Amino acid sequence: MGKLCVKLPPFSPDYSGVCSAIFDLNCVAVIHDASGCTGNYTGYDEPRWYGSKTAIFCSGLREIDAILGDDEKMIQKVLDATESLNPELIVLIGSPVPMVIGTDMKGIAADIEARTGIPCLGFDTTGTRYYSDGIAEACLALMERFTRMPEQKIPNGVNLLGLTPLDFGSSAASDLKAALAQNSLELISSFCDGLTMEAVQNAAQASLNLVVSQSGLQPARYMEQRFGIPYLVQIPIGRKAQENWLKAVHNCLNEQKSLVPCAAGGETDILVLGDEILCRSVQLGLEADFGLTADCGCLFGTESELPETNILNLEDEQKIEEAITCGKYRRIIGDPMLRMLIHPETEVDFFDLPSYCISSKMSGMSPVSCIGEWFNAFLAEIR
Amino acid sequence: MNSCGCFESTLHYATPAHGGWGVVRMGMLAPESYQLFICPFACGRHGALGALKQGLKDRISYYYVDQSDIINGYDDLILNAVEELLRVLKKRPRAMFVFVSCLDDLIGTDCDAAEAELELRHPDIQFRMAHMNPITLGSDEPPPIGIQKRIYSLLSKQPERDGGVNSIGNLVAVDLECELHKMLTQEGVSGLRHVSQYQDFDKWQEMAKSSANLVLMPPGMKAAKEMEARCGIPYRFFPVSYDLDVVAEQYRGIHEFLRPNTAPIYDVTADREAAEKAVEHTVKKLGKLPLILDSSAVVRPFSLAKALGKYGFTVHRIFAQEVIPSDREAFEWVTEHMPTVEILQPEHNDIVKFDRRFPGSLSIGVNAAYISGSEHVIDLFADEGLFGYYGIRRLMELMEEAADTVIDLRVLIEDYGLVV
Repeated sequence: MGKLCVKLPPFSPDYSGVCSAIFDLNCVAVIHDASGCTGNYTGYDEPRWYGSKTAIFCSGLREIDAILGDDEKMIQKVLDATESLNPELIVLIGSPVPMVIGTDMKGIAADIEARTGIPCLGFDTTGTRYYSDGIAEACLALMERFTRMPEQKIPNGVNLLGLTPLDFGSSAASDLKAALAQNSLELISSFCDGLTMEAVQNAAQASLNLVVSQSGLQPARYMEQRFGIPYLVQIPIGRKAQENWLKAVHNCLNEQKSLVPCAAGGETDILVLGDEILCRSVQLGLEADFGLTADCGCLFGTESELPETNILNLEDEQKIEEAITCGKYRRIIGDPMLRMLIHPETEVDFFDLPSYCISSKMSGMSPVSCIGEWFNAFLAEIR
Repeated sequence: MNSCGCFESTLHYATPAHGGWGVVRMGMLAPESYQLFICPFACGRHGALGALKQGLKDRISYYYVDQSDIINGYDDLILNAVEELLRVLKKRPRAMFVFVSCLDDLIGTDCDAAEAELELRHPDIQFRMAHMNPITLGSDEPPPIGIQKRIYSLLSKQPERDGGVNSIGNLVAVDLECELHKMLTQEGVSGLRHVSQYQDFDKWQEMAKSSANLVLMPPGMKAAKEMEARCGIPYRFFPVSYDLDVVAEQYRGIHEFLRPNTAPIYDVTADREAAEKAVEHTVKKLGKLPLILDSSAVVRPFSLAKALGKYGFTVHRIFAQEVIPSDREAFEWVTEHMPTVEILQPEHNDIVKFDRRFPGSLSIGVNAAYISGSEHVIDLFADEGLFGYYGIRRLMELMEEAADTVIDLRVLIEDYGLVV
């Protein structure tokens, strides 16, 4: 994110991404911070927190421990919690202070693993990068450590990569999984909604990875290199687009080749704001179902290796505001909190598509499912 | 999990009901003030969303620093950020809190020099470098104390006194129904002032004309001490109590503090009788309904337990992460005289097991209610608005209301906008 930010709240950070990714696992996880970073995650970045028994904690880092570099205090607390809670996995997550004092999160993780015999992963998260980086790192670490080389692949088996509550509401996640089931695709593992250690171990049995957000791209590339599993980068948004997506899924499965569908592009007065994969998928949906073109306003950075069509890197508040108010766009799709950037004189129709990573529980509306035909009623309004 | 009054240092668990006002909302009490945070973007998320919930987002901005800024030091960036911000603000604030976060405690930013330079460049604005640094919790100046000190440092010494009295430390003004107001009026005080009553920075300065500061919450002590040294306003600490006898002592103490040997003492008999009657009624109504007390609801949960125990209520459990000095005596009393009361730390790592469920209970505080699964809840936060006999009466009313209703805890927690 850029420098001065006057109107928007900061978006979800990397340490929240790691926590979100491991939420469903039987683990003891620790954000190494004083309290505020944990408060970000439990209070504003985890819609599943209420009513859950997930053991994600704050280390209670204090100034004197930071100054003296006293890691043993945290280690002892982790050992005590581990003894009481009996987890399958321990996870240590960095924050700005450990970054400043150079805490070796991976080294401490190795120490704890040696003392407990329980696998322990350390993440050098810093609070200066987005949630998608944290999710990607967590998925990669889990895959590198636990995913087994399969004896054989499941021909119609797929993994979902990047399915996070920070981007997808619960209804969207269910609709996406239902779309797989209805089309005889077997879900091997879902990173990271309903993830289990068994699913992590078996992930390489899949014949195709379905990347549904930016956080899924890096893990997909890793799995292609390590296990030879191709990937498809698209969320099935829109009725016709879902049919196209299904064809692409079968092509990828049959030919065992990766595919990043790309819209034709061209002049447009529609801007879609959000995660790049979400924006690209809405772009594809608009094109397939309505013959419309849209620009993608990517709020969390752009993926330089993906083919570009009408892609804008809106990396800070000023750039987002300029795009929204430049006069080019008459129709904008994005999180309702981005409405704050519309000027009184700007003539624009804004269509609310809430993202938890932006507005958290403050969007004032229920989550929207954008999967398949559920999005068509929404899209019909902007024809 | 301990239940013997020992307090353990464990990993901290944060329930969805964990948190409170946060420094952002506290700082916003200063009229016509603005806040600029200089920090990694992550540090600002909970404060910004909390500010949105409270309708305060138009008074807060962020200047995000990255790893390179941190390595190089961002002293100059502070000055540039303020310049950039003032260029885009439609109205110049009278005061600006420039916040830095935990990491700043470790990199040696010269905050005093930055503050001095900013005031030199913008003499119409009072700048205060402020700290959102929970890493100092447990020290003598954690964030809730530091921000109150900085808020009241914006009051300038006034040439004369006007006979008013301030309440300091409490984040919400004492309810107008409280007999403290009547007492002060009768004893010739022009008014009980609280920062939340002011929208105008200049008008707020009248708090510096007051003759005395009543500190009602511990985090206001340092601010009061500083005001005594700088503005010559004496202070006394009268923490909120729900004990009839302690309240009587407090009113005698306030009288002696404000008007030694002059005005006739305000007669609290009727107020005390009303409180006694309320207690009697509530004890009868609640019977043996188990009560769970929570340090998020009342600042001194052990003092409350002692008072409720004396009245005949059944106190079953107390949630407190630690014992604050002004609650220490009551803590010792409770452990000696109420040995069956469970004492649990709400942030203890074993809380996540949720094996202490007790649905048939009444929780005073939402965090306790969440952990215990209480059907009956009082959504009180930090004794807000309560004091004296009125506070006791109001608490009894709340207990009776809670006993009659089953609350939607989730909605309540999310509506409050708690910030860690």
